[in-house]
Amino acid sequence: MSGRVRDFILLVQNNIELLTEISKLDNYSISHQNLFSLTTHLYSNLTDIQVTNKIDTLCETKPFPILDFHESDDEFTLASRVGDLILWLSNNLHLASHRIILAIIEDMSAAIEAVGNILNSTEINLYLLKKHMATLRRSNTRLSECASENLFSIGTQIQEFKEELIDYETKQVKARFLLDEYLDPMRDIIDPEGPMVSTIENAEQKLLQIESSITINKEIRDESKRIVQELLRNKKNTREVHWNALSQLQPILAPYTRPPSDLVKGASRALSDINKHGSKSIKLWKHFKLVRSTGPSFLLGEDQIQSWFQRIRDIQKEDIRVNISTEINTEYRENIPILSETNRLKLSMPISDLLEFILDNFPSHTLTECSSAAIDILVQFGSFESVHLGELQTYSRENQVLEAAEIAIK
Amino acid sequence: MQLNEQITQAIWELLRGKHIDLDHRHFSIIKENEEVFIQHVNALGYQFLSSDLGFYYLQRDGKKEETQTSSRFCCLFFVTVQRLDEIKDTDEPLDLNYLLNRKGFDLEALLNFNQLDDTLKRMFRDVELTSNEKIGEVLNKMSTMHFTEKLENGNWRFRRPIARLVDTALKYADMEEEE
Repeated sequence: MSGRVRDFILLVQNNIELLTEISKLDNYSISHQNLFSLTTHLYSNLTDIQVTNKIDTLCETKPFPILDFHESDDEFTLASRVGDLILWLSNNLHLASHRIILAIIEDMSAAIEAVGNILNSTEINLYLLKKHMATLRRSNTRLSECASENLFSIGTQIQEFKEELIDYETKQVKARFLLDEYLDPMRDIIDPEGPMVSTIENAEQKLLQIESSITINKEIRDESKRIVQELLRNKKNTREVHWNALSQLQPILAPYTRPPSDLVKGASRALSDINKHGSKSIKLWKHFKLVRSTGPSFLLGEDQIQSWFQRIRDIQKEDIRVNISTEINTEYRENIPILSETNRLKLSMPISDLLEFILDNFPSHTLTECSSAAIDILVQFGSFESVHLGELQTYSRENQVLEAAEIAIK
Repeated sequence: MQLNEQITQAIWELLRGKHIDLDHRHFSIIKENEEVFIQHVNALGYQFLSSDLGFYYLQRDGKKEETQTSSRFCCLFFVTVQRLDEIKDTDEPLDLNYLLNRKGFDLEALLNFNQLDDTLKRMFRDVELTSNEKIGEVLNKMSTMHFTEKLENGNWRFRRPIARLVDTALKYADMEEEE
């Protein structure tokens, strides 16, 4: 559990009476004046300044303020998550808290002490002895009821805690409350060296003393024997129930109460930031840059990348020296216009050699460009009955040479 | 500048955003020709990065589509870590080693949209992950980039490049410490 969550829980615990009172109000809202009066009433030892400081502290908690002040209404609102949590603890958690069990044990202890005093006195007051034995028996019955009720409630709580779809931080807070308020103190109470076991053992001793005392009448001695048996049975049951609860609840609560690894801490912090500000504003991508070469956002298209690879391969094949002298005339050449050339061809008919015709008209184009254009013009011309293929001719331009049949158009 | 078919393929994979780790068939060719790779990817405007944990990847200033994908990956990863921490029943710390477990994790069940609490659902919605299908798409995308791998038993295994997302989470942990 992070320090921030721990501090938060501590603050809730320290102000639980005040927060419980606010959680009972409509919409968890309370006016400024009423809050001040309520705080003064609940914490009567505080001065006015200390009360104001207490309220201010509750308004400045992290990860979120426990109390939110609305200036327009002059009202404070309890954070709904805290309000819900307190209601859950007070209304739904039907566990008999360690305080109740401890109070029962204290009652038993007082009764045993009184019994001891009576037994040590010179004259045994049977009326008082019976009265204290009855108290002991009653307390024992209450302890037994608490144990069986807790057995049921703890089972329900385990199931609810496991299935509840609530956020991680709230689960951490609930887990910490369950541990602090119920499980840890309960473990101390039922410990073999704890107050419950020692009180019952002490009671057993005193009751055995009554049982073996011939100066006390049989009815009381028999009653004493019955109480011893009940106490021993109850000690066993109460311990079993709570040990079972501890062993079942603790592994479920553990993930929320053990110290988190740095990774868990970081992920939790990041999620909290996303929750508060949204993923766009915290710019996650700045911390985790990705590249994907496909799709519209890619710097270069698939074709460009392919031709880039092709270019690299070509460079590897032949060592081309590129002259970048400014004296070289790198005149811009347009593509051969197929449509207008086809029209010109029609006007110039008959043509004895189509390729020769194009080469004459486009002296700055390469042989490859002219021969491609010749084929395109032929296709565009369309009237193939006018086309006549002649003998093989050799055409050349610069260092390119092409041997092809002469094409005449008549 | 040597550029054989294997190098070309490896560059292609990196350009497609894949992370090439020790288990990948192109790992050794990259390791032996790091200089060649650096020259080529730099020429295309990318940074060539290698991790000590044994994987290579590219980086450049994100475009819109990439920033969305990045946010989705981060969000899904952070939620996964939190959910794994909730179900973890050992004392082993949840760190990179824990994530790299070769048996993998049942992420589809763990991240089942309908089973998430409202807060986690809201975070998923923030990055437009509004259904199990969309979550599945992101897991698949992570798989194509070699962050994860789907095993035959249906579990998802994290691969070494997931260390990048772990580092991102650790940055947030540092921020918390600083505060």
